[in-house]
Amino acid sequence: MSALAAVAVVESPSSEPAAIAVDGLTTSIRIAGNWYDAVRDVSFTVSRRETLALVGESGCGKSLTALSVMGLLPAGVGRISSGRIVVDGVDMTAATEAGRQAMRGDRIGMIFQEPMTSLNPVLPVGFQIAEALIEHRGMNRRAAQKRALELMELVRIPAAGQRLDAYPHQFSGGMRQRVMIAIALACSPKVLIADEPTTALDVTIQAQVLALLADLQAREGLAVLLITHNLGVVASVADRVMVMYGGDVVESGPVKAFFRRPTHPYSEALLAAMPRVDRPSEALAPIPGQVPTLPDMPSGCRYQSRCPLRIEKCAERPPLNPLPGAPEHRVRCWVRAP
Amino acid sequence: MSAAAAVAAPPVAIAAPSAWKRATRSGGLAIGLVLVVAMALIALLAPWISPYDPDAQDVIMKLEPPSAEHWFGTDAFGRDVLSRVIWGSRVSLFVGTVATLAGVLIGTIIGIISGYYGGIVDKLITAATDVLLSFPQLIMGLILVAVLGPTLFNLILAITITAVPAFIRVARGSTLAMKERDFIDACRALGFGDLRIMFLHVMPNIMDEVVVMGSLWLAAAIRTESTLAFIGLGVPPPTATWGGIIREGFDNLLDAPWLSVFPSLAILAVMIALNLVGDGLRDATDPRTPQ
Amino acid sequence: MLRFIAKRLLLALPTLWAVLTLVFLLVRVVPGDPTIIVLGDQASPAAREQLRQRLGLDKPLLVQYGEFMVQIAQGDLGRSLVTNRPISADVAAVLPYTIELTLAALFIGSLIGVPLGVVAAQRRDGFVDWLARIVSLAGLSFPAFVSGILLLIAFAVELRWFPVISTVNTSDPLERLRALALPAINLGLIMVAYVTRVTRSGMLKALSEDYVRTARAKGLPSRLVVWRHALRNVLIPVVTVIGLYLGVLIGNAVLTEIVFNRPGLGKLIVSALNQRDYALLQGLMVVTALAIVFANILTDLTYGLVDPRVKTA
Repeated sequence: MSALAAVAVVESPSSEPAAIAVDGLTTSIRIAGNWYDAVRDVSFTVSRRETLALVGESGCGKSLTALSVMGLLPAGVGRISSGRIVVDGVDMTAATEAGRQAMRGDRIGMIFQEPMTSLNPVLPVGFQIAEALIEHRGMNRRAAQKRALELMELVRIPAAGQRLDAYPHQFSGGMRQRVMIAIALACSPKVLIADEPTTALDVTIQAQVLALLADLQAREGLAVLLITHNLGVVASVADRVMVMYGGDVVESGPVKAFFRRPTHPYSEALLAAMPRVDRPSEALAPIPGQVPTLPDMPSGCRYQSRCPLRIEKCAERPPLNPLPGAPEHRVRCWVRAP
Repeated sequence: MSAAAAVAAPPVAIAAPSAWKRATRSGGLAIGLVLVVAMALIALLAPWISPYDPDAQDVIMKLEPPSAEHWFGTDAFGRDVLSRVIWGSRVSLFVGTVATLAGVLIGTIIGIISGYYGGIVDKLITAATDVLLSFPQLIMGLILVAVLGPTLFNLILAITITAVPAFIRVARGSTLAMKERDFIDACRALGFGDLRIMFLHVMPNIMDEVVVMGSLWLAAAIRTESTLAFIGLGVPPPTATWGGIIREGFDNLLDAPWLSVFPSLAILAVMIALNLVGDGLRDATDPRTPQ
Repeated sequence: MLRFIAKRLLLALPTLWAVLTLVFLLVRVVPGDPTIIVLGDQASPAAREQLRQRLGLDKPLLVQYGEFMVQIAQGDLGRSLVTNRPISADVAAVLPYTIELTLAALFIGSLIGVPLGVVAAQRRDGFVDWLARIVSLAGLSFPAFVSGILLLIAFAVELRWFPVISTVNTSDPLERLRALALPAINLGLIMVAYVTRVTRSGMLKALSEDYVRTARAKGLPSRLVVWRHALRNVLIPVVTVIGLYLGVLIGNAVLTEIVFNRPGLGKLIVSALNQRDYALLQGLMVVTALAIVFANILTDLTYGLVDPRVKTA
């Protein structure tokens, strides 16, 4: 299958509107009294049954993008400065807080990185799953608990019947992440945001949880926004990928095209830093330096301070240009995609 | 020696500028400090600023409400309450300060020794501290003064004894934390004696925590002193003490409430001032304090 | 749960033993001759010797210690030097009043302190936060007798809403409540201060926890996020603090009883002091020590209720 064909498949799934449509999102955060753009002019869509992976080092704006979509930016510290976010047909940016709250947990579910701390230690897991059903579906406690049991079975928690009233500390990390998934999917949302869902887990458990997510996605027809720094995970589950650096999308495209031809110098560096079976481990090349903090972020191309290909023009912000012959594979670089 | 000094340099100084910034931003510390200094001045200058002799009786002028001549009124013996409150500050501040300083000194030394050496000594001291701390400070002080007899010295002794275990605990905890740091090992490697390490290197580094506790305990010590005086276990009359004046006022509560009110306000002012200072210092020295 | 209680009781025994030993030593080892303190320095040697025998002070220290422990184990606190009544009977007569007062203060402290701390943390640096800081500063600063006298002057002497003397030997429950009100408010204010402080700082921490974010992501209204998810976790430190400060509370209950002229351990302590009733004083210290050890056990048992990790561990 050619790169072009792959693009055609993922970009036009059907006539139904995208489950997530983000257009020109800029999110700012406050540091020592000043506001800085931590996510700059980001646009993407995710359709049902599709997985978009958001990739980058920590501090690149991935999680802030996800929290913006959820409407969970910390008050007073983070805010959406411009752009529009439409989830499942509802404009989250125009909605009131009550409107966003009604969306969360009902039509958008989210799972977080730390299963050890993301569950409330003093409430039974069954109740934590049932809560969203009581809140959004107006179910009574008994009906919600019954559905919670079904959900625990759906995420394949063994002996679910006996563990409905158990507390998080009685579960392993992998089992807790299954509980998190059950919470996120309780109200059968169309959209799932997964922020580093497997990062904190053992490798074997990672594979199980990813398989479970893929299975559930197929069954429920979920649109998944997957945030990860693990390119191995991207390669195995994502349909499209979007690489972020310093709040900018620096490269985006279908997964196959991206891995065949990573084009932005940052993407190249990320791939070179990733261990692979087909390469000796000495070839691992860590990216020199680190992501500058927001106040120190260079204007223009934000990767210029670490980029080996830097030219004078990088002082200007490059546009996200399509590569010749691959219109869905876009790169923000004066050298690689002028 | 220069190498030793470099390795063993106490790491506290680094935090100083931002600590000061945090302290001044809170404002409470500044207000508290001004109040404390004002109180100390009043106590020191009592002979010159008090309008009357605090012990001079005047049978004609007894239980007079506040007036131009007697701002705080007069008591059952016709003594000027303002003068008695001013002189009473001397007893409260003196007993509180001496007892707290003694408690800090004894408690810190025992705590450092306990934390530094560890082992059976540490276990015994810790167990004794826990038992002493399980008893309410007030009741402990009350019993001690009752058993020893109410004199100025015994009062200071009793309050000191109630303060010691708290400072043992703080100093021991801080010393244990300091022991984990590299520079103590560096001192040992350089062949410094235990005493030198404990008192020249450990002590200065745990001092900010001790000072914060000290200002809060000074408030507690003054509170205990005035409480004991109120119960009748303070410095014996006719010496003016805040708790004693309140006690006398309490007997005339229905006819002359001002007798109790003014010394009460004086105690409140000192308590609030010292708590503001303590909290302000804690915020200033604790880098974890959220901004 | 029963095993947990049994284990906790067993663990309390060494503490109890140590505290009782401390009481024993306090009365005997301190410098000064207790017979002089009781009888005054004018007393004849014969009278002092007689008192020494009555107190058992003529026996060797270890024998005294053994007798002291055996007596307490039997629930015998000895007899008053002044009235010669069994001390345990005197204590039993007034203890309910002190317990009533302490429980009322705990109730007021939790009922006001917890919501105040929660709202203060939620609207940090807002009006309620400012109010909470003033209340906790005041509660931590005021000696109980000072706040008691000020309350008495304001609400009993000037406004006449409450009786000046808290007579309690009435069968009318409304009168009894009215008599309890001011002392309970006075003692409760201290508890409010402690509880507000701990709740506020605990909530500030809890609100930034991951599980709170999960609760928000579930679409729960902030009312549930705060009061159900965050507060449940904050109750653990709150219970700790209430347990820790029960000792402070008992000390202040004594003062409150004196100021409001209410029967209770406080008045008993003062009369023991005034009459130099050594035996009564020692008995009261034993009761206080028992109360504190008991309060600590109760605190630990409460953990089992608020923290599932304790119950199932």
